[in-house]
Amino acid sequence: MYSRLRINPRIFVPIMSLRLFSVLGLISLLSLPMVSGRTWINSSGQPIKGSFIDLSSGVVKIRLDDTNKVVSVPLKVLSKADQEFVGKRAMTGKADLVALAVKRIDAAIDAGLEKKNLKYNEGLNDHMYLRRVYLDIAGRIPDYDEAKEFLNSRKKNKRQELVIKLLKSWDYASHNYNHLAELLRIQTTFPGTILRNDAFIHWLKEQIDTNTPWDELVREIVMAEGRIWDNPAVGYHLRDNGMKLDHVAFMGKVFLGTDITCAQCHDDPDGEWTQYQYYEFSAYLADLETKGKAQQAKMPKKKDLEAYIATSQKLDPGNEEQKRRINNIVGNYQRALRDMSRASELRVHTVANRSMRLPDNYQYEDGFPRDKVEPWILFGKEKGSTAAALNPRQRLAAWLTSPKNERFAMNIANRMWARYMGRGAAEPIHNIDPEKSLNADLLKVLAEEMVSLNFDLKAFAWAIVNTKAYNRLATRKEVNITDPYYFPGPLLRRMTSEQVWDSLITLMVEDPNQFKLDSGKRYNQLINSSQSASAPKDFVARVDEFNKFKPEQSLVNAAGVSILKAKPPKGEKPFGQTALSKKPTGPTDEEMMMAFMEAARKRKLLLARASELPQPSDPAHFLSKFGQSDRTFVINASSLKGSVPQVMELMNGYATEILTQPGSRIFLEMKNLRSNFEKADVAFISILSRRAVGSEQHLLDRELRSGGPEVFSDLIWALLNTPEFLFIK
Amino acid sequence: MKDSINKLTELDRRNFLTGAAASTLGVSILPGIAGAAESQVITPASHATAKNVIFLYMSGGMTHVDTFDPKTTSGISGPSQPVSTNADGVQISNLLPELAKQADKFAVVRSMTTRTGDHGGGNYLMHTGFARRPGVSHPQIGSWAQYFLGRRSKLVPDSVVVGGGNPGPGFFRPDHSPLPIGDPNRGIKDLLPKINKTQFERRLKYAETFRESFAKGFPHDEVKSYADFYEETVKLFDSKTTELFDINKEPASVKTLYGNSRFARGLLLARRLVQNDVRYVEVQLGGWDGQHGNAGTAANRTNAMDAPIAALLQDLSSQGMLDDTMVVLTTEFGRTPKINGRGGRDHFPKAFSIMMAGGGVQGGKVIGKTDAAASNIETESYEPKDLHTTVAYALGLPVEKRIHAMGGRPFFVGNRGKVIKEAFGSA
Repeated sequence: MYSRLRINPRIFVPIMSLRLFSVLGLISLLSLPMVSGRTWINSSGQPIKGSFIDLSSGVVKIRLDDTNKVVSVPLKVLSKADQEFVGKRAMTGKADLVALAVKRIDAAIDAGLEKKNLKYNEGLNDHMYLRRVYLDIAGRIPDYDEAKEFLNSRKKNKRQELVIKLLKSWDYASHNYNHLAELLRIQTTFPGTILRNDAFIHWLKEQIDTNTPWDELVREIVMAEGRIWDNPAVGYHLRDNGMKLDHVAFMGKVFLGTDITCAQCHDDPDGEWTQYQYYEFSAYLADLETKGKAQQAKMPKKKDLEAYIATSQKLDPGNEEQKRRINNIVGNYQRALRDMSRASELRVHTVANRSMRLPDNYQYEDGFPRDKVEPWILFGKEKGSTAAALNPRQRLAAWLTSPKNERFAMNIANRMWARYMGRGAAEPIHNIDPEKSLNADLLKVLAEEMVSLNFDLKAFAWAIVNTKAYNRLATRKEVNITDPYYFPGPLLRRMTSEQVWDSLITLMVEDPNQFKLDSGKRYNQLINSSQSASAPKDFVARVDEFNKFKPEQSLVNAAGVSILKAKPPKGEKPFGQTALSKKPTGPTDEEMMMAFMEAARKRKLLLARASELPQPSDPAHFLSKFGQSDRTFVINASSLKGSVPQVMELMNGYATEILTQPGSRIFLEMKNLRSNFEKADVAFISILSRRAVGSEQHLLDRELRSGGPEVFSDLIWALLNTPEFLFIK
Repeated sequence: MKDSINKLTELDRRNFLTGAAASTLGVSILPGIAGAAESQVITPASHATAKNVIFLYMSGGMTHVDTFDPKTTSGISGPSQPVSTNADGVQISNLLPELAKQADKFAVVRSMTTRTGDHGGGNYLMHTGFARRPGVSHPQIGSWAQYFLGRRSKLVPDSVVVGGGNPGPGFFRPDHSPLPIGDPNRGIKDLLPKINKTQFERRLKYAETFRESFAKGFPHDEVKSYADFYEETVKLFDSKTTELFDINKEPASVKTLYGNSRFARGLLLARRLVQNDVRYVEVQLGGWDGQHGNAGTAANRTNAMDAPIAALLQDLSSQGMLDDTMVVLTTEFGRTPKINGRGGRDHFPKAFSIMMAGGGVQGGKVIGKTDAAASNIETESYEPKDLHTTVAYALGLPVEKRIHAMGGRPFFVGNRGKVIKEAFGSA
């Protein structure tokens, strides 16, 4: 049935010509080296290594790999390949394509609404718009300065400018990483092992930040080979180490919006997929192996190690009791080494000539148990000539990400639409049926525009936020999941768990992005070193370091200092300094921030964004309580439902507790202001991105005059504990 | 506090309240419960014999030989000897003298077995009925019961775990999580706001005002459900609810009956909570893992469990609560019958014992038998999932009903185990 869906050929013509070179260039793309930075060739033919940041006014900004410095290079001096690379990632020059996409999406929605005689919702004022785009693009509410800047601006195109600014921000990477992490069920350590996934997590954020087109990103993770420290992209396959058939089902849902799960064990009762098809599709991964035999872990000679421990710990091997202690210590080192060695077994590689076979209990007439199955795609066509030249996994990647594979574009376009609008053009998102969609035309347009924007996800987001539907207030009346919906505006959405957390962090600290997870290099080195022999002293030092490794060590600021040790950044100017403010007295901002960070550490609160924290979060953590995905067996496992523990968390949790104490950013913003009403204004704008109105104003009038010193903590507390804080209207 | 509404089943209550609300206000006033629609609220099966469960978990692996399956075999009996109890033909270890006086109230199952010999895996299996798989999270019985039977009271949570971690809701919605309580003596005091009452009320008043415009503008169930959760949470902080969790409100004689240890106080809290509409309470007694090198641990732990559990059974029985409250005592695995070189016992999953009482369980009974070496089960054996199926069966949960969770995977409460029928008097 899927093959019946066709992309409108009339519209497809110009797209085809655009895509032509990249389709032909697929094979060359496939052989690109898979490193996070890129080697650029400048006009004089000299290579420089670094990652792409931005293109504006014909100047490319590149962050150099070795020094982390940003250099500017005119676009035209770069090689042709580099220019193409930049063209794909930069938003400059895409405005026309985006405008066209907006027009077509609008038209599709207009038509749908008209047919049902429905109207768009009311428009958004600046306050609503500000909050909405921050949450949707940056994944957090705007801080006080950002809100003020936007609200006070009289520029005509300030909304457009804001969108561009946010699309280029690190916030975008953090927020979009969360979505991708849920989709790929990313965990900090690979399930069942001690191997950390930091390198992949880091790499993926970089890809999002530098706007690697979706098709390219998917090709890269599907084809990746090696160990995680050589090629971080292997984290994708390693995630499902030892469960290949499940991995295939996830692949169908995540990349194609196609659920073939049931057919893993039996023909789909709805007649959609047969078990044979499932095995055919899985056969593309038949030679994929996620474990490789590690070489024997190397330990110093036991005698030497014992002797070293006896000396260094001042234990006497002649004494029975102390001899036993030495043995215990040696045993501990052996165990740690074994864990390290096992972790280093994880490696994606290809085992030549291994084929997929039907299961032992295969029961259908189209095959016998243990029959060999050749790889075959689920639908559409695999390009014959290309197919012969490539290995199965490369063939799979090429077919999967081809612009001709309608469901690939449709899936990602629909997922993105759902994120911004609260519902997909087709539902359920992981198993879409274009024919049954109430918004079939919209779905088709979204898919086509995804292709015409060359899978540039930033450009696609840019298009969505410019549609008429997005620029309307959320629908005021309740819409149930089974109700038809034609997008007169977005649905009312509760913030995701990560958005709530990241918003709280925004209220707490000056820079919510100050601490980021690094690439886990040191930890990986330790794991990798399990196979190199060394003298007892070095060996013990290495294993000790491994044993003492704390994940927080990898959560570092720009200077590489861990969140456990870092001091607050030196602000350029004290907070809240305006002409109206009084002279600062008492402790300095820095001292207060220091005290605040200490208070957080004492409560074991890591003041970093959700994307940088251990994943999935501990069940007792704020993020879990608010419904963060547990990243196990379900792609869309996150929940937006309320619960008592959430409310307790917002009422009496550690985050609220320290937020309502001096030293948090919101307090620093208020501290030097003269009037209580100005302070209340800071609280309202910081938390709800708006000013007090009506009965709220009356309450403030009363309380600010009579209230004691706690009135501002009370105010902050109360504003956090309102549905308006949690919902995106 | 037990007004007529609280006595209704969840479904009745919901129908009653929504009906009343619909007729008087024209709106649904229970959005919080409406939000739980994913649960499949049913009435308990007619064979149900238990309404509540108190789950006693001996964490670390309880030695069966030194508790409920004592032997006289030399090299095996260790510090204990079988002694007679107040129930004919039932013998337990002399290390449990107080329980021996209550044996008419409980049944011992001596034919438990499992293949899981590590603490983490065994603990998980015994708490869920499912083997642990990396990354999967199965619910505990209390959450299953809430899923099928609905939330019983809006004042208190459906399940509570005393002194043992925070198990979470498994694959159910977050509101199916047991409420974890660290110290039974403190009840929910640690969850309470750390500010004084006047300030707390002032904050609530502010929030009430700030909520108005949004609630009016977006009259959604999801928004209302938050208001509901706030109400519920505030109730939890309410002196009335705090009191339900406050064992200091118990008469001195009852406190003396249970004893002063944390475990004893946990049992008292469990009884108090079950009395006040909490359906499922788990209380943990840790420290059983000292066994491998020290036979003294057995004496120490049996001493810790003996009198308090005997008091619980006595108390439940005298208050008429034992009829519909099932008490289950279990552990991750047994301990080697043979005393090891260090005078202790090691992990032994092959055969071990549990105890069950109340909620339809026939007391004064021994189910299953091990050989003289306490190592081999000579009768039909039962696994953790069978225990779970048995508890689910007693609660009237549909053990044959398949539900889908975690991306459409099928699951059954009790993991398709068999019911230990002898416990209920039928063979």
